[in-house]
Amino acid sequence: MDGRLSPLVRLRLALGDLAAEPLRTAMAVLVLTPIAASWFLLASIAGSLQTLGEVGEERNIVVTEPDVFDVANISLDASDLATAEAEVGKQAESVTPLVLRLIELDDRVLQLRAADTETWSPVHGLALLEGRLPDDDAAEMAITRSVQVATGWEVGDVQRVFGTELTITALLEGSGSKVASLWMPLARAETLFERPGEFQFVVVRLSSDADGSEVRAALKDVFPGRLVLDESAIQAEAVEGVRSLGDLAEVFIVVGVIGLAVGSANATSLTLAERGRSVALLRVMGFAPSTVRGLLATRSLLTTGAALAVGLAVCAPFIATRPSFVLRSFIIETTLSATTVALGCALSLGSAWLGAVVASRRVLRQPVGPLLEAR
Amino acid sequence: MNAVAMLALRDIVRRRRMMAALGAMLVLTVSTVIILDGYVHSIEVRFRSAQPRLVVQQDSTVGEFAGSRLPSSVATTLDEMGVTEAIPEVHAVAGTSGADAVLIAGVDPERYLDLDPFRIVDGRGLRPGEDHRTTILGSFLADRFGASAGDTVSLRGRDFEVVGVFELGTYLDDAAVVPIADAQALLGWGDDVSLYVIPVDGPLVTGDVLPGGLVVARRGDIALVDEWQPLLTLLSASVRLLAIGVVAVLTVALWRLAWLHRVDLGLLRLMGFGRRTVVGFLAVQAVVLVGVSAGVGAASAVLLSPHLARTTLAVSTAPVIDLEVLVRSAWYAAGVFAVALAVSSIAVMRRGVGALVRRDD
Repeated sequence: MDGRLSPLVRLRLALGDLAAEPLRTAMAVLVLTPIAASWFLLASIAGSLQTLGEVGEERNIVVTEPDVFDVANISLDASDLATAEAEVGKQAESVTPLVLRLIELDDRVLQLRAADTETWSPVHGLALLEGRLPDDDAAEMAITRSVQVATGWEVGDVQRVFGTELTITALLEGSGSKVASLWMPLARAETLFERPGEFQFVVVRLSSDADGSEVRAALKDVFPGRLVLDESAIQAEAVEGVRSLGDLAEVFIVVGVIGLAVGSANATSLTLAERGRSVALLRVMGFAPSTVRGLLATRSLLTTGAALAVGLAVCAPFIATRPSFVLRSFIIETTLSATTVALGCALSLGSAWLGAVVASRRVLRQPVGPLLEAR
Repeated sequence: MNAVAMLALRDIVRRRRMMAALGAMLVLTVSTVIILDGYVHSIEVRFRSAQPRLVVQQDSTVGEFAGSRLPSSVATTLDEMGVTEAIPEVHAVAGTSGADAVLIAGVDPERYLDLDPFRIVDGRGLRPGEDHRTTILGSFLADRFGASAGDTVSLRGRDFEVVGVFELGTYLDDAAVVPIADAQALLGWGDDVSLYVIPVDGPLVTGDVLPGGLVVARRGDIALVDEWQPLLTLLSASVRLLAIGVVAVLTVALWRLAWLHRVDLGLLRLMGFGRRTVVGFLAVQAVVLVGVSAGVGAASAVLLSPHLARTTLAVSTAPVIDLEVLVRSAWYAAGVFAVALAVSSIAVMRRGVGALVRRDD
């Protein structure tokens, strides 16, 4: 016997060994299960924060004041609109005002946007899903589906915004689907905030053949003290802020992977401490150290694989039933993707293999004689 | 008993690799648990400093942070309603990007020390009748700017002289505090303000709605904890699972180690040593492993926490690891020690001496 085993035989032997001591095997799997489940949960949190959608229309350029993080401080008026219109000319399909405020409702931060309802679809990419668009003169507003998911509000409900009771008349699908926004007609917002003619953004919708960078440069020339940005860039910093929370989850993920590696190494190490003579007998029978190491690694992979399966079975339904929530006006949806599962399995099995190999190295270097006498 | 302790320590040295691996895993877990606890605690400490005062601000805003703007005529309205001592404040965020966003707080230099216990750590505080464009910086903001008393910083494109650096322990540690008139001029607000601070024993109570879309709220609570709760719940659940897993690995390891020692421990019993000696042997090992690991883990968390600070939209978030958090983690460590000791003791104590010394391998 040259001591080499086919993977199938190695698998059969490792399974037989684990089956011979079902209680210890079950315990080895059970102690690793919470660590595996923790890994999947942390990975889904980090993933949900990293995959926040692109916000804003790609073909929109916005002009605003520098204090972009406190939009209530921004005050543009008709003269800004006229300047932008005159500058961009035919390179824009439209130049329109947009009111944007961050508001606090139900202990959540939501965005309140207001624009002429005629621009909602062509400029802001909104689609009506349910109800009717709000009336300019009535105390009405619309909500995006993200708001509905997060708050449970329905068409017909009444909410108090800036001290005014507003009826929700429409449910909208927004292009920036991860942003929780309330929408209202521009005229209604001017009344609500008691600032007629004031808005926070000039939105330039580019023509299909326009050169975006050329238009931006031209607008920067006529608005030297203002910010001129792609609409998506204006929210990028805020999204980045929310995403940075994922760093914390990623730190914990590393701890989880180390936990799995050490847990597996520990299990293998204890097995070797308890069963040194069994290992020696295998060596006497002609098994090469590498073959024994392969057997131990396979054993470790099987217990970790079982822990992963149980952890996934526990974690997947838990994650699937988590409701979406709003954080700083962005919708966070925790999901367990196939990629996350595959990555988790690969990392965990890799760390288990490494742990088993490291733990068995010293024992397999020893001569057979002392190992046979070991207890 | 000293001899038993020595035996236990020697055994640890003999199995140093395994003990080191178990210890490393415990250190990482303790650090993780403390850091997460520190994050949750920081929300309570920095964003929910309960105060016996109320604020009048625009409805649907967090006026103590940004977003609220009221005409100064509100002071007259409040006076007519019987509210005495309505103190105006300005709160806004200036900046064009996440990197240069700054929280600006405009306060009344004569009364700001009555509202918050500012602790000046460098320079001096604001003085009544202060020349324009002076500021005191919160310690976090001073660190970000690398500024100290005597330096000049740029706020919204204007130079301000830093006359002091303060620590308050709240979100205002990220703020540049300036005289309210300077803040109004800086923001171009005229005589508008963000809010009025009013006493709790006046005619208004939390939740009252006033004309002009104003609302009365509790001062010092800008956490929006409900918004953060789902994320914190998920993070807490995953860290707890991790901790349970690590404690389970530790427990099984100690149990199996105790079982490996059953012959030695049985011999001790045969030589006349009592059960307490056996428990002492196992306790020394558990104390060393759990105690040292918990200590190193706590020290790591304390050392790491300043490096985990993130500034997002003008506000820094970092774990606050104070005595309260450390005491809580000490209780957790005591629990882990009790479990570790109980399991390993049960492994060898439930059998008689005869069963312990019988080799069955």
